Amino acid sequence: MAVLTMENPLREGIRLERTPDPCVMVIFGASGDLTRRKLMPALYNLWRERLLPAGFSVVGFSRTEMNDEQFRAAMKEAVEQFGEQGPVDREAWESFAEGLFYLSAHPGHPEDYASLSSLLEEVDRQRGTNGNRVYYLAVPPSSFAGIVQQLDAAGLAQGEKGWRRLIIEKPFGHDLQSARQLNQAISKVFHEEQIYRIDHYLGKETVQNLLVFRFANGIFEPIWNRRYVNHVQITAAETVGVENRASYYEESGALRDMVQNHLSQVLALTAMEPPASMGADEVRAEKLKVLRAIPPLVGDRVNSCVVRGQYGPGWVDGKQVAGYRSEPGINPNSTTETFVALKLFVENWRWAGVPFYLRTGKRLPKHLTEIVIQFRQAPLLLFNHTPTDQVSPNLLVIRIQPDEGISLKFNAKQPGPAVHVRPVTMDFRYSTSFGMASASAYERLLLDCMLGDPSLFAHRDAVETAWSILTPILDAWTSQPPPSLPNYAAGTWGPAEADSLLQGGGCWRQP
Amino acid sequence: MSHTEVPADAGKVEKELRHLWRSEAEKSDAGPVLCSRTLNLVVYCLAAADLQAAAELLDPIVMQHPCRAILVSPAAPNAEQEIHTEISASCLTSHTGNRYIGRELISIAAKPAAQARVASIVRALVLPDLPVFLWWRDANSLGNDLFQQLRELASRVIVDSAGLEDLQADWPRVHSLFQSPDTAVSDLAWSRLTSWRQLIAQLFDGPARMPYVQRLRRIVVEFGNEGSSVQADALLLAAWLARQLGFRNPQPVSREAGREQNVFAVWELSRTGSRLRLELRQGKRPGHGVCAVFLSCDEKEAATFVVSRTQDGKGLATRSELPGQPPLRRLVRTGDDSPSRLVSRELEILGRDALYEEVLRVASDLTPALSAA
Repeated sequence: MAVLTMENPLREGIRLERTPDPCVMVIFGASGDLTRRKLMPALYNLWRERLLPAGFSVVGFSRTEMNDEQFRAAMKEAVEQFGEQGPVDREAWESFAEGLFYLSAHPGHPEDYASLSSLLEEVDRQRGTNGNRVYYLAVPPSSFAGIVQQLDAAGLAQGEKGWRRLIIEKPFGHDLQSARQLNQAISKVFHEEQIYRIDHYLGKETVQNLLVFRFANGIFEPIWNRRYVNHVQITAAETVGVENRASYYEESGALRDMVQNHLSQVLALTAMEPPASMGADEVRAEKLKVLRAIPPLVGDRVNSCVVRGQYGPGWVDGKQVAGYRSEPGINPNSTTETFVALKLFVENWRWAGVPFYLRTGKRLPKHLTEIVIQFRQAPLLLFNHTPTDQVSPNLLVIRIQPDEGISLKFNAKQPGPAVHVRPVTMDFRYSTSFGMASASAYERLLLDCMLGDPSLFAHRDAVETAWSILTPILDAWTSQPPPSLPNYAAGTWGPAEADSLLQGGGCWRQP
Repeated sequence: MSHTEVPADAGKVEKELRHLWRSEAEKSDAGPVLCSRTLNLVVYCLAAADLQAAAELLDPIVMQHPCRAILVSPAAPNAEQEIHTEISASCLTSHTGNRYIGRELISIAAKPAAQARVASIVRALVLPDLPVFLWWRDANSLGNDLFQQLRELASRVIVDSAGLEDLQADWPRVHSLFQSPDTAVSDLAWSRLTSWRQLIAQLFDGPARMPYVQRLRRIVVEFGNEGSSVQADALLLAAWLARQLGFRNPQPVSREAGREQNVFAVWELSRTGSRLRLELRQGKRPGHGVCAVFLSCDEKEAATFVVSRTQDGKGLATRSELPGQPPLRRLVRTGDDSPSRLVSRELEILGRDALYEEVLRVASDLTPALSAA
């Protein structure tokens, strides 16, 4: 049957932001931390900025006993505490809060889904949401499959009227097999185009700017290959320890927590070919090709290309901090890695032979994420006053957070009669060229999901391919005795072995 | 911030600016001064006395768009020099707390005899390879010689048609100025309508509400009680609604004497098979600009939609009533409509706003009826 689509004639023009269809976001785990810290402040901000439609509504679904009014009060407190836009405006909040509803319910009880169904029908009637639903699973991954099955059984996953979408948070499994099982369980109920796997890194402005930087400028793409690039470094460093996520982190570790999702996505964006268009399918297909071109590390290569570490006590930012094994909730003999560095290769026509070094860790000296493209040296050094080893290679540094920007290091003549070559840096900072603060990653991603744009969400294939790269490493670690841990002091750049990964006497950039 | 008076010579101005930046860098304890600039902003002020106020408006603009700002105005009546030029350079603190945003300000006040030199000085001072925006702060002198000369430098002209003293007389003249194929135009009266247009559009989003947009038969645009004539914002909003809904051929509707004193204009417009009654009226709310829009379908539909400014003036409230459904209300904050904020938004746009140009044309078709008020 042909679908008759009508365009709203009042939506023409370059100034009006897109706003989604009126819809309901059902948040499972609505009394939890993620809802309070991230989701509700982001939704309120979108509302305040007029980016959500009048009928937009939220149904909180959680075990905690609350009524609508209590839920609204709790959410207001959360927005006041965690929102970044100053005090909550009373009238704007009240208007937003009229669309907040709550259901005290157990995710395993079928009768509670019947109540959810009735409530959603009532919300549709009152607020014109027309059957459009986003189900946000802000719950531990172990509950994903159960909730999805219950939604299906209650007839809430598909419907004749409106659209249905599902947002899930990482981790998407803990290895290749579990990721496949999870994907299979969800795909029995939801089609892939209904599933939005959120990776908040991809919502960051600078990550999106990476595509603009690469593909809206003519000067970088010709040198973005093995002929001119010596190697690539991607660093995601945190100064914090495990905070209140001890039980999760003990099971996860740095490789699963950061590399499987964030770093592999950043790597894919850095190395991908120009897509045919900026459409979601085209961009995701090119990213997937990069991940598929990375040969998994097996056998001895795990030891020669991967370094894991765990922090001991030390000093971060002038404060003395405990070692990982002394953190609350952590096994005193834990072998969980809090640092990992890898050397990977993207074996395709563009990148064959160019190492991609990835490192991430907790309790490192600085909080930052950056991509460093190190170019090859000039073929011949003509300036004999300067020893060859003192001429720095050209570096292009793309800072993702904080202080987002791009800098290029090149060599220049030091003023004076003699020819002395010194490196200088040309710096572009977002904050100096564009004074405005950008929207939070969650705001961007929640809005994209409601608009039906999956570009910045992870596809099933990408998730499974990333696991297929990392699972052999996890298997090798399980079969070997762990290194002597802890092997780096908090406040340092990880174990010394990480430096030996870099070939040809190279070293990690000290940001 | 350092202020320096310099001779009206572009080379000397540049030299002094370099000197100012060096001394600013020496004062800085936050390392070198990084000065990135994304555009040139030429601002025309009505009088020398307005220069200071304009310079203050520029600070929040520079925070978002680091630029070289060149302020131009007629000289004060008692000025000694033919042309008085003053420069300043300073660092502003960005939202991240970094003292990095460079602000360069060049003020030029010229006596009438020296007006001819002004454009040539400005031409030499604009930074190369960056777009030039001309913010003309006096709607009533639009089109004069200096405007024409400076417009040639600019890729975009920013004006505020709400400042026109006689809308009915001036609108056609302004409209013709904006038809130049070389210059894009930003009208702050149109920018102020963005949140109105967004909220009105949202009233009809989704398949359940979309059909009502085609059934609208009466629209009333109400503006503030300042002044005694129709305001440009209200005219543009009415023109936009008529155009987007596909209604044409506005016919003024005569009103009975003594009735509805606050109604300034009424038109009947037609579309295949239907008609629309469009009214502009002055409300009781104090101030300038649109204060409410009422949209209704024909009587048997009983569907009505209202967008109105909140009492505190800082937000917009919407209310829609559809048959068989409870009323849906909403309130959002729109932020202030200060010139700084509006101009900042306009500086983000480089291309032409084709819709504005179309709406301007429709508004011109509506202006003859304004005499009936």
